[in-house]
Amino acid sequence: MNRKNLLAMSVLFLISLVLPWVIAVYPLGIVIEILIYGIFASSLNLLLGYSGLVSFGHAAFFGIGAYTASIFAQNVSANIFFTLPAAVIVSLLAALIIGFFCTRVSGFYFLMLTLAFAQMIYAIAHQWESLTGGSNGLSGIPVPQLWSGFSFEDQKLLYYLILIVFLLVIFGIRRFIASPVGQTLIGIRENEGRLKAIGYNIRNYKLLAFVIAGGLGGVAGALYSYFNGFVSPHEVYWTVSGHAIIMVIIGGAGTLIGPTLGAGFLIILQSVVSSYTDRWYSIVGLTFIAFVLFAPKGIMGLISLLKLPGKKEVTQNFNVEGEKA
Amino acid sequence: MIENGTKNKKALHIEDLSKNFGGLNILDQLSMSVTPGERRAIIGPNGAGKTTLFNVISGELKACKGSISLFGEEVIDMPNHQRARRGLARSYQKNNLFLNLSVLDNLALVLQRKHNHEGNWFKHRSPKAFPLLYKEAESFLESWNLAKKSHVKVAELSYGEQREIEILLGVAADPKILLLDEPTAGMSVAETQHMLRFLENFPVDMTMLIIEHDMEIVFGLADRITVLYYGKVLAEGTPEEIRADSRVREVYLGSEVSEKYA
Repeated sequence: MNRKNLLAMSVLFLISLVLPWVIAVYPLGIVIEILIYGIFASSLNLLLGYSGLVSFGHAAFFGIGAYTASIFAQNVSANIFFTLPAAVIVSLLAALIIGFFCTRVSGFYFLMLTLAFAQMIYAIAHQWESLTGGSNGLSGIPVPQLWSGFSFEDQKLLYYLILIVFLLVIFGIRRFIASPVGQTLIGIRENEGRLKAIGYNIRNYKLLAFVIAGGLGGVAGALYSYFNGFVSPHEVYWTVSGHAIIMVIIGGAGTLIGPTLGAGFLIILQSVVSSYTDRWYSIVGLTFIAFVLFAPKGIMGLISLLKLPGKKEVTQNFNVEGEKA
Repeated sequence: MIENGTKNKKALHIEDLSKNFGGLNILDQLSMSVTPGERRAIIGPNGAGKTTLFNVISGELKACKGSISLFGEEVIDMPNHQRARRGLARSYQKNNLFLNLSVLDNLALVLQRKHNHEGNWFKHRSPKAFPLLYKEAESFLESWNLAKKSHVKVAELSYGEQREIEILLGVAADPKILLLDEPTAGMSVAETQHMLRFLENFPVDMTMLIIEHDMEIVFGLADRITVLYYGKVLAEGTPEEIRADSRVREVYLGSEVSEKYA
């Protein structure tokens, strides 16, 4: 990381710290939503962007995380040290089971199978009324607590909680992707056949990526339930998976913060433009088409064009010379 | 068992191997053995089944019938990554690389597997964290004259350089058996000479099977030559024997080549 980047990061971090004190409640809610969907889209990015696996069922884990956190909060305890791990563990297990089947197939079949599993989870959310409240969903979820007597009543506090989780997730993904396993996932995206011939058991790596992505998707879902105080089967519907794909692609698949930018783009469009016109969804559609056709690397791709006018793109992931010097 | 005894001495032992696509026998009850450290050339006219043989040996295609053993171990039912882990590596007739990754990252994917770092998910893959891996990468890139290109995307290299990386990814794994499928395909005369020098300098204990149309390489490099014709072994022997074989001349070499190398 060079000095310029470090400076930009510090400024961004400071802004994010003072943000709740300078903006009103409604825009702060939008920022919180962007962070939550940023986590969600970033978790899908592990599959879609880094590993080249187009999952169309990522809403399953968002929903599982949201429902698990809510059910535990209602029935056991609203302590986040309890509800958050519970949501993560259940999402991880679900991802392990669903991934076990989905990673046996690839391409189009992978996409369809992930969609099918997610719709199964949707059906469960819809019909297991005694657990999930059916189509009414779960309302009156207790406010999350840090410990008894300290709850996140104030949205500012919730914002800081979600910001911390967001930063942990983003830096965790960054480190993971730079590791040998993460680099292997990129290898799968680039040339699965060659990687097998080198001696990698591809299916295990795909399953690992699927499980981690599912677990992080569950984190996003749990945070969403804290923020919203209400979950419904809508959170598991396939349109949520579709939105996540749009976020990743508009932001820049296979980049660290692209998915969060995509989430920001979509959510701002949704909340700002929808107050002027009912046709905001057509605008989302047209923007998506424009990005796919003219800027397939997304917002991050456009930014890198601004930064390096006329310069050749060079992958400089890691630096050998650094060691020599 | 006597048969097992001889099998164990072989780096590669193939028996009765058949592969057909929709009724067409590409490999037809093919049998052959290669001793450890041998340089074996596989030649034959187009469509003889040479590349299919490599794909079946490496496990990318499933054989219909027959047996393949590597150093005495039957591998016919193993998926290709397991065969690779038993010391089999290959290069491809058409470049089959990680085009959007740098030269160094291409090589690192091979080396992190070889150094058993492929399960490490928490350490940044950097020269600091994996000094041995990067030292080896550096020495490979230096001896292959690719050091200056180590951070360049493979897609941006010339065809000849990509071809070298294709071979490098095979040999860098330090395999016991290396399958090279037309390593000099599409190369200029100078590049071919350059490649021949590399091939000659590969470790002597590495068993090598090489499919090649360039007879200079075949006769310059091979200890023995196997001639395939319609999925069967037409002839096998030392370069001298193959040169003298009238059937081989008829189906493949032609009079011009046999005169030149006679």
